[in-house]
Amino acid sequence: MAFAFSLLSVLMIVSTVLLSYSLTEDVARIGSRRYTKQLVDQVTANIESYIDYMESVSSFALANQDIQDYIRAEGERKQGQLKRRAADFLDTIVQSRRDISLAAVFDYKGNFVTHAPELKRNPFAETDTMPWFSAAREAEGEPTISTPHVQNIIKDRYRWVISLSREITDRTTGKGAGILLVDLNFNVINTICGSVALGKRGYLFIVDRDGSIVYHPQQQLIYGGLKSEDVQRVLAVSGDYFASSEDDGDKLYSVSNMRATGWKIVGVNFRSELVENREAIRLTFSAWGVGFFALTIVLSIFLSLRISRPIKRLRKSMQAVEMGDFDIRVDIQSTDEIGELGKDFNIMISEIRTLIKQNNVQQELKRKSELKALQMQINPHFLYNTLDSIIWMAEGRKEQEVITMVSSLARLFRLSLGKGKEIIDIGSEVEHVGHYLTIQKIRYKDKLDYEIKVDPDILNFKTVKIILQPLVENAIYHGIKHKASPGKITITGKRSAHGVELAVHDDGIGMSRETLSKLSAPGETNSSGGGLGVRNVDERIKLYFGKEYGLDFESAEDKGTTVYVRLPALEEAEEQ
Amino acid sequence: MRRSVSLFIPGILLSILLGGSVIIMLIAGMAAPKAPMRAIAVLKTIDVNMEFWEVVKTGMRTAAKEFDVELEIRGPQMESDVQGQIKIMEDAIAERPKVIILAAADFSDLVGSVENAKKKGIRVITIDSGVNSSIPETFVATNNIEAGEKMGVEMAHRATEGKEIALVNHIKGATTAIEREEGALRAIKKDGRFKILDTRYTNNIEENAYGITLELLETHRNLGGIMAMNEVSTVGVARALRDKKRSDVRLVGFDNSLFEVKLIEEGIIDATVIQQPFNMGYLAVRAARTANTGKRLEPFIDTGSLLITVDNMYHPEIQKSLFPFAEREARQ
Repeated sequence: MAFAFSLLSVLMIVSTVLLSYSLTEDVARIGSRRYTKQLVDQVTANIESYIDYMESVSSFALANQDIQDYIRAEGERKQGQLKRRAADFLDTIVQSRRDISLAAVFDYKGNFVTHAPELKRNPFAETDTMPWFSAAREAEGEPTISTPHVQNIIKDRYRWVISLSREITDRTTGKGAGILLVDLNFNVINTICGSVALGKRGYLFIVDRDGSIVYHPQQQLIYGGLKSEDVQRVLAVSGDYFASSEDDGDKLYSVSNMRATGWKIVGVNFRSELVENREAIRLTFSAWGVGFFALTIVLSIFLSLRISRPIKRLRKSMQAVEMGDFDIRVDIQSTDEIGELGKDFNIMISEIRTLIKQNNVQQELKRKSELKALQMQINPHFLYNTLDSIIWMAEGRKEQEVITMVSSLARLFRLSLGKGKEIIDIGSEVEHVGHYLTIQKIRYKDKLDYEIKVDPDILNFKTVKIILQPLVENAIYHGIKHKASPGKITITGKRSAHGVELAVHDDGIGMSRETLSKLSAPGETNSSGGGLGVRNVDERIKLYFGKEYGLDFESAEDKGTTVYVRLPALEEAEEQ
Repeated sequence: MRRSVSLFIPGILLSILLGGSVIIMLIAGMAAPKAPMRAIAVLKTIDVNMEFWEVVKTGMRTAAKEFDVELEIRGPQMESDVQGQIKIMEDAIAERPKVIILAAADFSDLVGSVENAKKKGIRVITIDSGVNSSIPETFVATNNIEAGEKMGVEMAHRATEGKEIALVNHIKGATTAIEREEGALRAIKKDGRFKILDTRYTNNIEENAYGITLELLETHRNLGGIMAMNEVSTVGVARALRDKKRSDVRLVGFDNSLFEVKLIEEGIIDATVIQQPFNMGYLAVRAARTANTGKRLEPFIDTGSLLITVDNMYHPEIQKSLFPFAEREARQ
């Protein structure tokens, strides 16, 4: 039972734990994807804010009077106060933001002014060959943003920058007259991109709209052909997210577009790192799983013990009962079905115990009664009196009477023995009492008269043997013997409503109410032997046929006594 | 019989418990988190002013992050401090990392340390400058013969036919010096249009290179080009040419510095071949990671070299190698 419980529970737990684990991982993965997207968007916004700033600064500069004055100035004037004022304005641009490394104006005649007077032109660098210069010229007043590059226009200064360049229009002529250059330190982008942590191995890179790498933490590896980035896919992707399987692991790309520059900022995550604390989650879930297992098994053992232990105890008790020990009691405290079972078991055992006790008592009673009946069969008094009578008759040469008496005696004893059976036909019983009465009639002569009127229909019903003889004996000795005039005994027998009713009626002296009640009371011992015989008859009938059967007395003083014998109408006796 | 049953059932329960746990752990993938591999890099110098080694370190750190290597970078302050490097090596060996990445300050003197590391079961990878031993798993460096050849080809392309070509090398007997010279000479000889002068040595002192150049300009009227085989030599030669205003003499140099960049812009240096220190550092750590898994490595890993001229120096692919750091002021 515990086995089945556990197996079931293990199945449930395994599936539950795995399901929750995969759900948790999914949630974590989605969360981390969202987080990556947010980071990339944040980076994009940060870089964009720099670009936006540069653009607004450039618009501001284009409209500035000092710049206009400088652009328009010719010859000597270009070097004096106008240049200084233009430089001052450019300096305010640089001062406003630490990340701006250079602000300068180059006119198309080869003059230039920067934010700091100490900066000199690199004599070997031609503005015409500078991509930012030509791009701005082509854009005709629109701002252009360069990819990161080394700015070498200033002597002895080589800095990685992103250049914003824009053609300055001379407002008097409406024609382009020079280029404004604002350089943003590329370090800004390095710092922004480098500070983003996408797991342990994840990183961020930027491509421009042509697919050239603008920023990549491993730019040199890519140029050296040691690494490649699926730039085409980044450019082609319509959404902001795609997955890719590469040599160094499965990667997830989050792409964000930058409006001003057309750059795409790409966050790269390694799938294996997406769920940041994957190991911790796994460990936790495994621990939970194992914990549940342990709990389940403990519970299963506990439950099955709770059920099986009382059953085992019950079984053990039953085995004891089997062996004959009826004094056992199961002690099951529980209130469930098992407890009920235990209670019922106890009730059953006590019932059996009572029955056995009863049975034993009855058996003993039966044995005693049978012994009594046996004694009645061979009542020595009766035998002695009869034999004495026979002797007297023999001496008186009353041969015929001797023959009658001896043969009746012989038949009487033979019927008394009744082949050893306790239950006999009513017919035999009537015959038996008939022989008895014949003997007594011979002894008492005219003093005794008798009549037997038994319905022939009931002769085949069963009865306990030797019931009528003691009643007749009783009638003679206690009824007729003490009567002055001759007495008559009438024996009747007929079907009654509930069975068979035999009756022994005498017209003797009768019994006082007191004597009658004494006779009726069961178990009461009577010193005068007669009562004993009658009660024995009653007991034996009750023993064999049940309490509803037995004797009833009806008596009135000087009128006589009738004893009714109530018997079942049984055709076949179940001899026990 | 009954007794054995009562032991049997707890046994089954226990196996179910264990079985279930194993299933969960298996399916949940209880692969224990891999501990990062520990490696120590012993470089020739940790002087932050040495740009080449700073870039090597950047490459190393990039790879260490990518391949989850717990890397520590050490080295003497001075490149010439061989004893200092041996001491650092011995300390590193005592800490028993999985791998030591060594840029040997001396071809012979570090052999003992490498052997000690092997005895302790530590794998050794050499970078930039190797040792005279077959113990290291691999040697990660610039293919100097090939780099020299690039110089020779460029020189042959630029110099006027029939002129004399001089080689200014750093240290006689140094592996890099020998190999670069071999490559350079092979290319010039193959071209066959030039006369090659005897190689001169600067002992890695800039002023010597300057002096040698002045002497060459004096003594060899037909001098058409000079090949300077390292940064110090290149700068020395270039300064002499600039001072003497001999723009007719072609100069092909080696290595990279902002001063060289400026000299290239000025037209004093016609071309320079630069190494790829970032790649060197990156590939060294990647090789260390591979070596730790027990895989065999190629005995030599080439980190590549680039030819820089005034025309390509600001190309996007070149810029990053030529200007590895965001900001640095050039020397006058």
